Amino acid sequence: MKKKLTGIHPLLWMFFLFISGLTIADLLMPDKDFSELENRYLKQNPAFTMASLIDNSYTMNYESYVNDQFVGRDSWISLKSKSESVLLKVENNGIVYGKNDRLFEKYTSYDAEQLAKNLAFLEEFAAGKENVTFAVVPSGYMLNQEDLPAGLKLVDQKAVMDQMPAQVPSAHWMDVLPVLEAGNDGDLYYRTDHHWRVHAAYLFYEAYCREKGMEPVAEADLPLREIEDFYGTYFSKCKNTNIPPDTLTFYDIPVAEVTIDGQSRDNWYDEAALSSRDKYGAFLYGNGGLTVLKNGDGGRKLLLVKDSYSNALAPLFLNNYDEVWIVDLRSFPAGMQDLCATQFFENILVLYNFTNLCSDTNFYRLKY
Amino acid sequence: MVFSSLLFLFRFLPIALLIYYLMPRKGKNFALLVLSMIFYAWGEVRYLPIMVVSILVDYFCGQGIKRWGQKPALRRMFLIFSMVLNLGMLFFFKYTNFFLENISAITGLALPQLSLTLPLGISFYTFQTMSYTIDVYRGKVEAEDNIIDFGAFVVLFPQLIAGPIVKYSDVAYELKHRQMETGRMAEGVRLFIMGLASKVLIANNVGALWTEIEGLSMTDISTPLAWLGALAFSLQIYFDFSGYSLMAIGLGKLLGFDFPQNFNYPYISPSITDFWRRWHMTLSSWFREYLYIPLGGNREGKWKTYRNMLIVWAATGFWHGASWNFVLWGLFFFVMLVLEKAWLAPHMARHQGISRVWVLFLLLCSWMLFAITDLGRLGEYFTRMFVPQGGGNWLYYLRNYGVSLILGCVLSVPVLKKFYDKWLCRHRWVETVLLGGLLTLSVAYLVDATYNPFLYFRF
Repeated sequence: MKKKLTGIHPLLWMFFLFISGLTIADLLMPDKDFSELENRYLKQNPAFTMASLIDNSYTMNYESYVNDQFVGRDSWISLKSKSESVLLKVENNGIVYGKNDRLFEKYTSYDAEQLAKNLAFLEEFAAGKENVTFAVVPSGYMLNQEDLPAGLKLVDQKAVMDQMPAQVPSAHWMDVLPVLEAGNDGDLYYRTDHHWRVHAAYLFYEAYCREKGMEPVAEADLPLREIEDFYGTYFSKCKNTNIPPDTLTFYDIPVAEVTIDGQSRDNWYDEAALSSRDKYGAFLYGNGGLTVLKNGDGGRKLLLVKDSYSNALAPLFLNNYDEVWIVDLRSFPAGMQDLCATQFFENILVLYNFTNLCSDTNFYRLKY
Repeated sequence: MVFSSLLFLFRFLPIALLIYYLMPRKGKNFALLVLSMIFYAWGEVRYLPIMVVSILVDYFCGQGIKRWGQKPALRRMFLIFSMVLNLGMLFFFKYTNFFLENISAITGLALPQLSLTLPLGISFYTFQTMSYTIDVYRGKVEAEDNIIDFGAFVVLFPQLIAGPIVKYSDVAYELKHRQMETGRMAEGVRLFIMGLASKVLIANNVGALWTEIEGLSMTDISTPLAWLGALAFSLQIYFDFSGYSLMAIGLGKLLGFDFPQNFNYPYISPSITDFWRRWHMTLSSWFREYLYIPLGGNREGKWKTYRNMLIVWAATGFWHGASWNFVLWGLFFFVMLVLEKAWLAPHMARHQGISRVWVLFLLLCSWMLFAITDLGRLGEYFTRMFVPQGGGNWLYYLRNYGVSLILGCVLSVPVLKKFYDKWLCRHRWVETVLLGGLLTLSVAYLVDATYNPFLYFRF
């Protein structure tokens, strides 16, 4: 018997040990609820019912569950990233490796249809109002063209943005790209994340104040805080471990009163989240529907309709307004009309990143 | 369920093999039948009755032909009944919408479309079961008496969904008398891993390039990029399809079956005629045996031969998909094959080098006919390929995918095969480590494909 067993090709042993070993390990491994790396809840074992079997949802959910909970998931994903580098690829999972350890989203096309819809909703919202300002933050590659790999052609956001003011004639258009270009130090955006750094946000704030005839606070007077070991969204997607971490920066501006979706908070950022993986999520505690920052009783109010690019920017406006009301349409299903009717806003600023503006499907909420 | 999924590798396969190996010899076909049914029904439970009907009808038709063998009219009736059912199912599920759409376009009527999903592997298993009834009718094989053995043949999970098209006569003996030999099983593991790696590591990798180019707007596609896309798709479809066949053949060997070879380095063919002896071999031989030869083959003069070829190639094209571009694709091969038969073949035989380049050129073009289903877009793409268009973005794509493309090109010709057969097979441990590495990498790519970072919750 022993002789017979050793005569078996080692391939067979390897294969059977590989599939059975991993299967058993996978079955024994306790299920996880949440993936830090992917920042989402993982699928759980679906309950079996005859109805769900017949309509195919059981088999689909079970497969997603197996995929989501697969043993050593994170390590497999890192291994794939390494293998792609061995194949001399300069991208992984839609993230391009630029020069100087800078990552970019491979943004080769945009949704023109969604963009047109969003601009139409915005125009409808701004019509009849005198105080709406509309501005679009370009993506990082527009400011770091020289760091893009040779020959890579991404969407020319400038050409698209140049068409926007004509589509939203009722709003006051503020062109962000020239402002950033004028102050471009080559490091206005995070290397590993899609957001702009707080210095770029300040440049925008400064230009906005000048447009509105207000005096911007000097950047040197702002208390800068730096958090090391920040790995952003681009890093999470490509998992290229050769890329060094970023430093998260923000101005630690004191805010007297913070209310997020009716709940009062001690500060405008979540101190605990700064030491977690999702550091950027600390600002404004993520993306609440309606956030109110208040520092004075003068009653000068700004309404900021925004995406996550404004999360570190918003408190800067407290130097010029008493209150900043912040709406994130993604978590604010209804109430926009009511808000505008019951509150008097000196200014309304609609500030979106280009890619978000082209993909967001919540602009219709401006009507409700 | 597909082979290249975590669900198959780490749930279905280990459990299926365990049950199958532990089952005493007499119960093995029953185990195969049940396991294959589960494999088939996974993801589309509602179509299970279709499979059961298919098995029952073909089983009883076979029995009918055997029972009433002396009465030609009855025999013929059973044959026709089985053919009508098989082809009818195939036509209903695969082609109804195509015909509705075309009738609407011609007549101006707004006919509704059916919302049908194609039952898994229907193009393959209908051909397999038809081969059985026809062969029984022709007296080539004995009708199968045991419905469990017959059912196991029809729904046998390794070849169920993407071939090779296994004829009943290929496995009739093994259905009853197969041996589990570790030598064959090791060969099965070897082929399975190579197939998996072909699919996951090569086809998906170069396929990503084609997907990107396909998604670009036409104005962004320069001539070099258009050719790069054609090369990428040619490699993708070869490694995808041959990889799947290899996995099927490998799994067959793990279960004790020897399925026929399906691909034999088609891209080194010195002629299109030869290409079709090396590409999807079980399909070409099926059409040859059950369509071309019954039509008269090449025995009834030149023009009838061409007519028969036209029918076969229109059918081959249409079999690949319910869309006009597939018909065009089939007819393209018809024209090329007739050209070779009538005139080119002797010239091509004399200039093997040039012929190979010519054949590759034709194949690249043919794959674009295959890949782009929208005829308007297809025309534009060919314009991009043949009327020089500038643009520099191909440099980035070449740099990014260059190594993968070279790897694909090298592996699609038999240069490494000699080394493998001569040296690597003799060094069992080296081979085991190598294939183990490929298996590990393949799993990493499979896991990554399900990677779905939901970054900045609600951002």
